Amino acid sequence: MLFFKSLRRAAAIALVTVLAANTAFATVSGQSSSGKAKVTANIPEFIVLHYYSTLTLNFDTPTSEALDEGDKDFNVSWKGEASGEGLTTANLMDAKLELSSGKTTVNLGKVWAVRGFSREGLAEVSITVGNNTLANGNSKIVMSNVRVTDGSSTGTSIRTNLGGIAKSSATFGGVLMELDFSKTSRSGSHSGGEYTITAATI
Amino acid sequence: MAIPQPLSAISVRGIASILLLVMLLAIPGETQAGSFFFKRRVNLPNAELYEMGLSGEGVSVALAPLETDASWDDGTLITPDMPLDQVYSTGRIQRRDVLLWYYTYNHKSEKQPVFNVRYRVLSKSGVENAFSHQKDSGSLILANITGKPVECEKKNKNKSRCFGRADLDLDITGARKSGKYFGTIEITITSY
Repeated sequence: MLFFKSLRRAAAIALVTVLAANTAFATVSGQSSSGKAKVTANIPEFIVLHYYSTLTLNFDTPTSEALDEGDKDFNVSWKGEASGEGLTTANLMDAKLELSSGKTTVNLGKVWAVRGFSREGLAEVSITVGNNTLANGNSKIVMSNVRVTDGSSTGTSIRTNLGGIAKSSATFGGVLMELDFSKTSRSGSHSGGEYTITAATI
Repeated sequence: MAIPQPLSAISVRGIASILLLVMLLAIPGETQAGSFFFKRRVNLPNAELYEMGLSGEGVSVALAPLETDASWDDGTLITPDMPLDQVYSTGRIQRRDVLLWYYTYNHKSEKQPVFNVRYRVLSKSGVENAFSHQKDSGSLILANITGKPVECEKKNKNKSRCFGRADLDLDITGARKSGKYFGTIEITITSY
């Protein structure tokens, strides 16, 4: 009798134990949890400078002109000597092409571009002249006052926007220079002038 | 005076006691689910130039010679649009298997859950699927997140751990500045 009583108790406990164990192995259904992670990414500095390695400027041919400087009287002796003032610098008529002091300013539109990343989103673009003389024999064209421009700033060194690395974000700029033709005597190609553009991230 | 007990009754009580002890030991002390751990900060490895196909931080690209007509008069010369080379091979970089969360549980008392995970990326300035520059909220890295299948492994004889990882595809072509970009990944997990 005691045997069966003990066995029933043991069996009952065992049954409860099995039920409890089954419950413990079941996970909570549809439990929801959420969290946030703050993420940091780091982008390096980088700059690209696009430029033309060689520039050739073809100046248009001045129209040939014959300027009628008017009437002029000369006194001529019987010995053949003439007296009287002929043409002088002061009284030459203006031609269609007149350069102020023999110089002209050239603005080369889009001849450089920068793009990339920098700390401040800016780039410093500067220009230096390596050789300021374009020559054809003894005939020379001298470059001076060479500057870079992005349309809003102009100088030998400017700060310009760096809009990212995409081509569509590139910043374009030009070069301004004065060309002095006062020592130019020949037509044709004059070569040898050289400038250097440098771009740096800021 | 001790009353002698029948041997069979003593044995049965002993067996029942042992059985009870074994059963009690078999009952797990805790029946709670495991616990989640979410990483509060994730510092992605720095983007490197070589990932974009670049070898240095400064590149000069010489274009083909330009020949243009010039005027004797002062003024701007007409120059064609500059044909810019691509320079870099890609503006997209990847960060694979970024650990964002894990779940630790007792595998003796809990079976491995099934996880349904949703991720959402927000820039510091609130733009979805983007990270924004620390000083310039308009400078953005586009970020696309893809959850990886949850992988579980035994940690010790009782504990197992399930790892929540994701792949991040970053498009840096819209960024304007170098430096740090910030964002938040919101993680919502439903486990069954």
